[in-house]
Amino acid sequence: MIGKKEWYLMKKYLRMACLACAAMLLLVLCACGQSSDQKEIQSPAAGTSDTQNPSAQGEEWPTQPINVIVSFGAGGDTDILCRKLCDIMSEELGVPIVCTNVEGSSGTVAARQVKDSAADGNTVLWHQSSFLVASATGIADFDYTDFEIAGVAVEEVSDCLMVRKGSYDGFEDFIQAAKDHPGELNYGTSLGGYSHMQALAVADAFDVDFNIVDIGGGSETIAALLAGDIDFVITTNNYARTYVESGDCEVLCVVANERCDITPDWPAMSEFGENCDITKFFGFYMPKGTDPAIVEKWSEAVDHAVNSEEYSETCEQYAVTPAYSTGEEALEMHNTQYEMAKKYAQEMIN
Amino acid sequence: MQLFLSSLAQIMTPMILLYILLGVVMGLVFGAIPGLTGTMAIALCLPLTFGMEPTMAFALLIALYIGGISGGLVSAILINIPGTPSSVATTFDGAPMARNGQAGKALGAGTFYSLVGNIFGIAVMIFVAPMLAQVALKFGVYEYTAVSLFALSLVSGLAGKSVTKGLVSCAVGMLLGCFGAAPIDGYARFTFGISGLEAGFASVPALVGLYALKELLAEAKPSGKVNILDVDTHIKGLGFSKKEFVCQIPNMIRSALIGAWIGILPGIGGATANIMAYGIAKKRSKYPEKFGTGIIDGVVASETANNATIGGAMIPLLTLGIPGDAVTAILLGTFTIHGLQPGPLFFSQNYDLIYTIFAAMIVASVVTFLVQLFGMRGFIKVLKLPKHILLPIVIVLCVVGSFGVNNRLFDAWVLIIFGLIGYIMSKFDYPLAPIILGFILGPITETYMRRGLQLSKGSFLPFLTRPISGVFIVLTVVFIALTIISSIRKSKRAEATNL
Amino acid sequence: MKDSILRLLHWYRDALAAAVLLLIFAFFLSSSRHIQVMIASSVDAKFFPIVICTFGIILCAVNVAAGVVRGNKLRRKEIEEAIGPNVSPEEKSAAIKSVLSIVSIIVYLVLIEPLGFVIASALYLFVQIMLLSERGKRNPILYVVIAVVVSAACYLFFRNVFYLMLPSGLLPL
Repeated sequence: MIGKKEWYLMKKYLRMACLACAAMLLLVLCACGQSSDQKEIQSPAAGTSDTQNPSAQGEEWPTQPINVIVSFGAGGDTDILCRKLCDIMSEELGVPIVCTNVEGSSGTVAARQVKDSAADGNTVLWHQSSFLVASATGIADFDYTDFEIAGVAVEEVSDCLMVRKGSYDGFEDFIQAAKDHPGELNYGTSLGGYSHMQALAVADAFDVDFNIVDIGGGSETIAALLAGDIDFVITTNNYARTYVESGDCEVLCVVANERCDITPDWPAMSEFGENCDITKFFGFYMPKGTDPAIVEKWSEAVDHAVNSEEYSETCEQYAVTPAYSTGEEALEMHNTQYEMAKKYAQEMIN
Repeated sequence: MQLFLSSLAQIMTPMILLYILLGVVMGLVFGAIPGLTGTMAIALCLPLTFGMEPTMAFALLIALYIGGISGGLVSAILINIPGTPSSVATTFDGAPMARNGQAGKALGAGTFYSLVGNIFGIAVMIFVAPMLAQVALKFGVYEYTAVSLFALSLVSGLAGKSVTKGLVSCAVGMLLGCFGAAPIDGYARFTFGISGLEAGFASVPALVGLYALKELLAEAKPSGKVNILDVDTHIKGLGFSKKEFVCQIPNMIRSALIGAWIGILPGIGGATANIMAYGIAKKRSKYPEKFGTGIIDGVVASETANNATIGGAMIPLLTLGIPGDAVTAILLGTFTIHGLQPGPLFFSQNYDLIYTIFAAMIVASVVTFLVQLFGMRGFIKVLKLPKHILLPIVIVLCVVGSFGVNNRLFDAWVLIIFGLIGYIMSKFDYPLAPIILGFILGPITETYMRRGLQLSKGSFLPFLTRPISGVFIVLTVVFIALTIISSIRKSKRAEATNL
Repeated sequence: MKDSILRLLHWYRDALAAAVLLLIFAFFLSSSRHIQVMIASSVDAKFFPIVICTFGIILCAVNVAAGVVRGNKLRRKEIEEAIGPNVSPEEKSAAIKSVLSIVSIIVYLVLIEPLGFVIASALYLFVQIMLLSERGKRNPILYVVIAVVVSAACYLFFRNVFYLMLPSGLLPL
């Protein structure tokens, strides 16, 4: 008996082998230097997809490889969380899912590309909360209502406020220092991004003022922290763990209302008397006007993948929570978070 | 050492070797086809590695990386179109060599010095990684600004006959780099209502386009056709002599150091390293006027440097968990997928895997060398294909490659727009290399300078007072002053001879 | 009349090219003023474009001057030596071929979406190869075969092996 999964894996290896053959063939063809045309056709078609009738709607969908446009660069958490998910989903949907990274302007470029593509379910956007911030600041001149929300998959409420080891004696000391030197503590972020909003939320809650400077995304902020260019960062939990473990840095608080399971020793921001209501989430979006049956089918696949054993392992690595929602519920969440983003956007643009 | 040997033995299984071979071949093909890059091959193969053993996954990805960077030299030399941005400088002397009937020698040198560059980069990575990483960490925004300014000043060395024309080219490149989202603010500049321009011009189609269209249109010229010299396809060994090897040793070492160092600095990358190494080799040479006419020095500098960036780029990734370029960013994600935690402790916690990666890199370098060496005779035959058929096919492949960058047609338009710019500018004797330097370094300089000014609250002083950055600023000024003095002298001499 | 204009163009081409570049820089300098700025400071998003364009304009002005000087020299020399304007017919046909090639590439990109990659590429390849090949030595049948086979192979290879979704257009693939 060959199960669906085995069959899928077999096809995958077949594709690998095919890739190998094709690459070899290409090289040989190059090497022979013959007018390079006659033989190329035979090899590749052996692969997987049969791409019949691209306009198939609803029931028949999916019939061809689905292209997921990832809003950030390859290798980052946004990218890996998506690729792993798609890897699982493609087994259920029975077609390959190809992830393409389209970088630029906090994901706006990717979003626009999907917004402008055909509403046939074959192009899907994977985006995160930065989308809301970009819309709120006007970097993007459209927002999530220009899409069909096709399943929120992951929530991340585990980001950590991190400083170089020994520079502050706990979070209260840090806030005191910020109060004593208003506007002098350097915070590194990519301006107009989600972490920019987080710093504003912290500053707002404790009524302090930071010098917010642009340093770039993710790992660049940590390099700047280690180099001493900036005084603190708010970074993902998985990053923070390694630098705390190595003794280079320490985490003053988790920017959330609750402690994080994986790091129970780190206090939550709410323990210092102020709440943090912004939430980072990741989800899929389809172009406006996509057949509801397609959106539903995709969302279901997302639901299953998100709740799979396999996916929860990846989520654990990144200290994010698999959290599926769709339809009204997801829209509600977008609305509240968007309101919040708009509030802080006023402060970002000045 | 023993650990290293045992990891070497560990990856010598047929299955892993097969993956390495597969990765190298695919990387070479992607590298050699203008518009497609090794980075793209890696992103495509990434999902395939999720289910693999970590050793196997990294062997495949690293083989793709090394093959992808090395493959660019083939098209750079044979058709004067760089296969990847990392081999732009290889065209400067590689293509003239091929035109002079020395294609075999150029390919041989390129292949050999790619290997040298790879091994050097890897050696640096293995032996001095943790120490170097600490130094690299001292590089903050001010230092980056100074280094990119210094790199920009090399433009004067690449300017060709007229320094002012070279500088205009550089300004054009920097202006083109300003398109799209502004660093820091994120609002788009110069889009003129075209939404495709929101993120600016993608660098791969831009750089490839600059050269591709020019080559195609050169074929329309009547003189371009006579040129089918009897190609010497019988190359012995690598095509260059022992004496030449000895002569190139200083150039080789210098270029390898430049490559490795540029690789270590996150974000600047191979596309700059090869041009920088070429510019410096020319500056330091006893016969700078021969550069560009087809001498081996240019190929050596470019190919050693671009491959040395690989080892360099791995250093901040493995020791600090900070990726230096697109490929190392993907590797970082792959570590996480396999349950490994990249970061400062990665090196000490995963000794076995790290050494396996080292071993895989060395094996992949050697395999790349061998594949290219055996393929060389075949590659050269490409020259025998009628160009009026070959070049249109190359253009179609460029379009495919550009389309693949972001899965949209707009990037193919970028290819053509830059093609036209390259064609027209070179028609009026404006050199292209400064356009590239300006295009790549302009945005980097702008980003870091503005970040620095944000940190210093608007003061330029830290750029001068921080020791490393101060030194580079002084170097930049000295370099520019020297160039101006020598160009004035040269023009005086030229006038004197004219009279 | 036409001759004298051509000769002027020939002598002063450097100066003209520099002048055109100068105008381009000037245009971008003027549009730099409309760049949207998030954080107002002395060095903002407008700063670099303005600096670059200003430098460009200065350098181009130098080049215009140098071009005029060089043109004057050339002019004197050619008038002294009585070299007439000579545009060889080959150069003329090369120029026409170049322009046609550029046009065909642009048409190719326009057609990729509506016609699909295979048809557009095949058409382009054929036209381009015909343009570049020498008159008496053309072999249209071979070119058609090459054009069709190469574009179909490219399409199948990239679409099925690398899932690069090249536009399918009219073909029901």
